[in-house]
Amino acid sequence: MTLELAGIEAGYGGARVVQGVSLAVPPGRIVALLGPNGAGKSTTLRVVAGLLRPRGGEVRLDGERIAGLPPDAVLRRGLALVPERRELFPSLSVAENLDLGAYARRDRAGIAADLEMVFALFPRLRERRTQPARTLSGGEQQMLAIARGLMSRPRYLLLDEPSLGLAPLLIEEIFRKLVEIRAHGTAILLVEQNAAAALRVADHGYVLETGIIRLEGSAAALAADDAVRDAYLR
Amino acid sequence: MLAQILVSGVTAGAVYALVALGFVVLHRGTRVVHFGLGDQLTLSAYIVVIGQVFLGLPFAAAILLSLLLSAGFGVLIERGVMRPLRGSPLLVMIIATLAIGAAVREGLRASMGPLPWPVPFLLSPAPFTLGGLVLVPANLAVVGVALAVMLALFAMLRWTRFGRAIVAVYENPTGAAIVGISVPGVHARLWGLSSVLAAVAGILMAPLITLSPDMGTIGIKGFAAAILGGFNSLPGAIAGGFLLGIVETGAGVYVSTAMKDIVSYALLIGCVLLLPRGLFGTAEARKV
Repeated sequence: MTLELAGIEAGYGGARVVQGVSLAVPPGRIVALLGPNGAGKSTTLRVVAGLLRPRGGEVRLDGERIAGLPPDAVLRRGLALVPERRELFPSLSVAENLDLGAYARRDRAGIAADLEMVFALFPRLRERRTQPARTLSGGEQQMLAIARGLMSRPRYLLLDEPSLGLAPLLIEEIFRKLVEIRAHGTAILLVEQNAAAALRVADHGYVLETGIIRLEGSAAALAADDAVRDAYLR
Repeated sequence: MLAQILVSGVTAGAVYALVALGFVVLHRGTRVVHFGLGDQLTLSAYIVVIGQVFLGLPFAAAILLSLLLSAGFGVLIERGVMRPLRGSPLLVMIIATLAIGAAVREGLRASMGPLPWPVPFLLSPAPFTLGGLVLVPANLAVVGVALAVMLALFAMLRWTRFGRAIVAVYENPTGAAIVGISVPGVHARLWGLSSVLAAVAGILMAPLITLSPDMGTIGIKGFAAAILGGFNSLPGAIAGGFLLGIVETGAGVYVSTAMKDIVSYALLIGCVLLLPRGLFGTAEARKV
């Protein structure tokens, strides 16, 4: 019952961005993947979500090899990506975006219950349910992207830089929600440059630099590590 | 006189609108401009004739056969030609559509001969007069069927799972993929859908003109209508189609019938030069 990456290599054209990443996300946990811009964090997530075919290595979900599957097949196995660019449906309403989040599901009652769940998590989205997604603020768009991901009732949420471009107070709010999401039983693979915020909510962390995992440990251990403090926590 | 032009113009306009929708429905999701669409339209009309004359099918069954085969042909183009070309430059795909069109056109000329075939009207072609306007039941049927197909298209996009997946891909292909929509699957549907729209146009148009392998040139009219509508707006494509039909008929009446075809090309060129986004198109944010 674990999401595992073993020796993932990936890149674009001639560029080798990810050079052998191995990590594990146990069920119901938040695992942070930290590192500077360009380290290969987003590329790693794109591989897991099926948007990019790896050049080597394996992604295993409960032992099944899923690397190279198309994104819709990955989603149906219980992995939902919330990408850095959010990739919302801009002229559709908040409600329609959420509805499409549940596209792969057929259980109407379950979908309705999960809609209530995400509205309880992000009350702002309920207020804005008839507004087109493009009219939302940056923070609201991030909430909608996370909520849309949750509407597929994933076992694993793959979150790419949720803090990007948001004010500090809003970042705190979003990260508090991640703890609530974990309480619902969804595991999170959290890619972040904001290591301080990520390590406050994560159970475990990995530090990725130039495509290679440099450090790994419990969130508390990483937060106390001198190298991590110097490089990412100031 | 103006009312008569409007009434006569909407018949051609309805057909142009369907062809324009065929272009736009496909292009919005795949970025491909299908220059073989006009020839697919011809093929669909021929299938009706083949069904009736050679297979002895009733008219309705021949139409159904034609629509099904047209949809299948569209999906086949996606699976057999476009999918293997994925990743190659857009221009290569567009040239492939030209090749498909030429193959269909010349295949029809070789197998069905260059001479026109008669195609039955949906309703009587005998005109009648109502309130001073000359109306033709066959033409009214064309407009009625075209409008019904357009309504069905919008209802499908709005209320069906099939349609919602298409709208999601129109809005954001990456977003669609990550909510579990198979984008290649939607592309196949769009090819089928675009082909069916062209098929309806072909079956409606064939009795009014003559069914010959070169009937596909009305594809250019549909293309001009789509350009007028901005090429990325479905309502724009419909408006562009009716506008072109009416303007063309007006030019035929006030200038000369020989001017009719020139008008579409003039509108096409004028629109590209002066209004590159068309009358209804919106600016498009392209990803870098």
